[in-house]
Amino acid sequence: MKKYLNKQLFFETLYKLSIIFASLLLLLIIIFIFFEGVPALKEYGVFKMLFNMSWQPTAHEPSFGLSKMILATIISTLLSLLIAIPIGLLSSVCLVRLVSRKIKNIIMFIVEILAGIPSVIVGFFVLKTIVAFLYQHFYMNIGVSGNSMLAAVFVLALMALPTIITITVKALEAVNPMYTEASLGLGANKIQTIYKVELKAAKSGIMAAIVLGAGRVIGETMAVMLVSGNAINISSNLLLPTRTLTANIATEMSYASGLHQSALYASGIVLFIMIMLINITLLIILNKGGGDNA
Amino acid sequence: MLNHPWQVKLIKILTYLATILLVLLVFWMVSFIIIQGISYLNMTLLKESSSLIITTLMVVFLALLIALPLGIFSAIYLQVYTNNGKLVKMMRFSIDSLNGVPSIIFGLFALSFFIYYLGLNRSIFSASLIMSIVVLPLIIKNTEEAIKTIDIAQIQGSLALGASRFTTINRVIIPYCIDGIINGVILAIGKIVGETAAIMFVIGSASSIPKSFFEPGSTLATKLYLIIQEPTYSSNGIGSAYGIALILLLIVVLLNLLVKLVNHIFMKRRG
Amino acid sequence: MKKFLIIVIGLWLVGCSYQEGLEVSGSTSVAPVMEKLISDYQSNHVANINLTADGSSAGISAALEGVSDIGMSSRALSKDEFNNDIDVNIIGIDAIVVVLNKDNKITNLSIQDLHDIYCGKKNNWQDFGGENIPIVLVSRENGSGTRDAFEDSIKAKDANKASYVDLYNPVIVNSTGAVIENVKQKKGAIGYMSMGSVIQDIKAISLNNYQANKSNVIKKLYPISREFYVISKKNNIKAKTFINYILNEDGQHIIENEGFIRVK
Repeated sequence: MKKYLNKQLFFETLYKLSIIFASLLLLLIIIFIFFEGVPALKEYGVFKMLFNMSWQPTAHEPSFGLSKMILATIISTLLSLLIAIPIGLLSSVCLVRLVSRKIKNIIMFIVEILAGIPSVIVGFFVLKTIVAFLYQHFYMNIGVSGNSMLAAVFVLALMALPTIITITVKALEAVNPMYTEASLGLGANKIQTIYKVELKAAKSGIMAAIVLGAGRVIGETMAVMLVSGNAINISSNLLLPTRTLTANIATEMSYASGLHQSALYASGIVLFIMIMLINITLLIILNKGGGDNA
Repeated sequence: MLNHPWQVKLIKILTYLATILLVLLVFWMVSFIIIQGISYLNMTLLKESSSLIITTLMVVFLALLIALPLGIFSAIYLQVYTNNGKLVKMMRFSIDSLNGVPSIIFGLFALSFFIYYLGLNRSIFSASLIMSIVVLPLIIKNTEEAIKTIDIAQIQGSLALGASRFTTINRVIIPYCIDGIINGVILAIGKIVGETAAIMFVIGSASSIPKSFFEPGSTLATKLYLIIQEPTYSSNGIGSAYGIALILLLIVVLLNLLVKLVNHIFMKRRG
Repeated sequence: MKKFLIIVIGLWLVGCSYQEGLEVSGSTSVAPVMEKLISDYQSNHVANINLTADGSSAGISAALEGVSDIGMSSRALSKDEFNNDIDVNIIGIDAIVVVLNKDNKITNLSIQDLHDIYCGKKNNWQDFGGENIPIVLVSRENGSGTRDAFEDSIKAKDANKASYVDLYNPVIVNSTGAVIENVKQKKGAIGYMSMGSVIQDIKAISLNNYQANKSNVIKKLYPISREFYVISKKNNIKAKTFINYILNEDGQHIIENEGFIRVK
């Protein structure tokens, strides 16, 4: 009997230890990123790092201003969502309500393939198609090389789409059928029901989809690095090259040392904080929206 | 809004158009990869990618060896032993957030913790360590989802019959969860195979078949990135890049089909 | 069965983990030719040499600290980096060549031209006798030794050693291969790289009317060149053996074969 109880205790402790370990990993990551990044923050100054426009890490008196990169990350995220959200929402509606089960399954399979394609390949594809196309048609403009904010936005939209679609589809399928029946019963047609009733009912799920899509896009590195040009610029001309926070880290990390490397970790901290803000937003949305779909 | 028939018609058309656009985009990308890659499917590519595939498998194997038990045990604890109190909510938040961490941050962490702090070498081993952390939330989530679908009555019945929580877990819960766990494993494999940014600072690079886990290596994805940057690193030049991209695409399609198969088999079982 | 598997796996993991090796790290410009040297050396000698390309600065500090047996550098050591228990040897000379797209008719530029181009003062090839095509700047990333050497030579840095080039929408890439790809695909592109990396698909031009060949570089008529260094601790015999090989005929022959200039 004792042996049995001991075995049970052993496994219970094992389970407990596992979950404790798993939940401490995030903390571990935060600690080490901060540990590496704080020297640059201390030396250069948090305010300057966030708002200074000059990034010259290898100068005698280096400057580590991230403002242009932060802006590029925010703008590329917003623009790519501007494309991905309408296409994502409309497609989800179509899949859940307007096509047969069979077609929906086929298209969802296609979406899952898109989700699974490694970002290096998506970037490579956009590099060889969109970037080449942009240069061919706009090369007479100074500074245009095809590698651009526009190409980055395109690649990010491609990466956000599967996330937005899979979650929106789930949210729409979870809508209480009573709402649908009531609406149709009151005389509304299918389209009106979908867009005026069901989307509203699925609101929190859709917002979650968008927020998760945004998180995916903000953190994207490889695909963006291949197509955005990585110039430390931000401008209203979308055909000019630009550099996001993620691409900044990946481009310069290989040969950075000392304070330069620390500054790259610091830009990792900034990125991390942006992601955490998004996660907290998601938490709030999900908690608020809990009662909507009863 | 939407009260006039023409508006309804317009929205309907836009809805269909969006879906068509979506499908066309994916087809464009996939056909591009296939068309470009097919001409490079030759012996040179196969020789080169054999070491890449073996390295990738090694990373997958070791990462899962670590993440599976950790993840399954964590999921069991979350679903069977707790009461959704504040502490559990915090733990959940921590694990969910881990899911959203950008891969480059994982890469930075891996460099700082495994290479600088622990002093490990750049190797397949180090890459597996960071990948086990990356896929852990996936395993936990999928196992949890599977546990959730178990009829609560089964669990209550088992406990009512006098079985302890532990026995219940072993005899009732885990057998029913296998499909969810397998689902998680397949998704994790997909994620590991395609990962670049998280491991590129800690895996080193190599062109031959690795003799041990403690040597540097190149996976399909990291080598693809290296070749795009430096076409001279491979015998076919940029052609190898297309070839490797095609191989990766095939793996993704295969894994997705596997998920469907697994779901089909277990759907039948569950009745 | 489970136990057996675990033991086997454990043994494999532990058993083949220890191999005596030579660690070589440093400059990415030196790495390609070092890779060829290593593979040639390993075919005639029993050795296990690991190569990491993480930049000249990293290579130098790794060699100074003893973390690497040999550090590769494409720049000279600074005063603080130099000390008495290390050996510094020059294994070859590299010229930084300027490359253009194959369809670009221009065959020569002066250092002043390069300055004007990379500092945004002139932005169309017709300003240099070419076609009416805007110039696409391709540059390496901050921290690249090649970029450093190039920008120093064309005076593209200010008093603070901050680069002007970032202001003019360059396409920034972090490898030679990417420079080649960009210059190959875009007709207005201009880039720079180590002389050993030039391939058929792009065109290397002369600078100040001198081609980057052995005689012009050694006589400093070709204006942009640098030495490739290897750094090792004086008492490191393994490293010494390998370095001697590099400095002898076998090694030097390979260096010349790869497109660089031999020193012996």
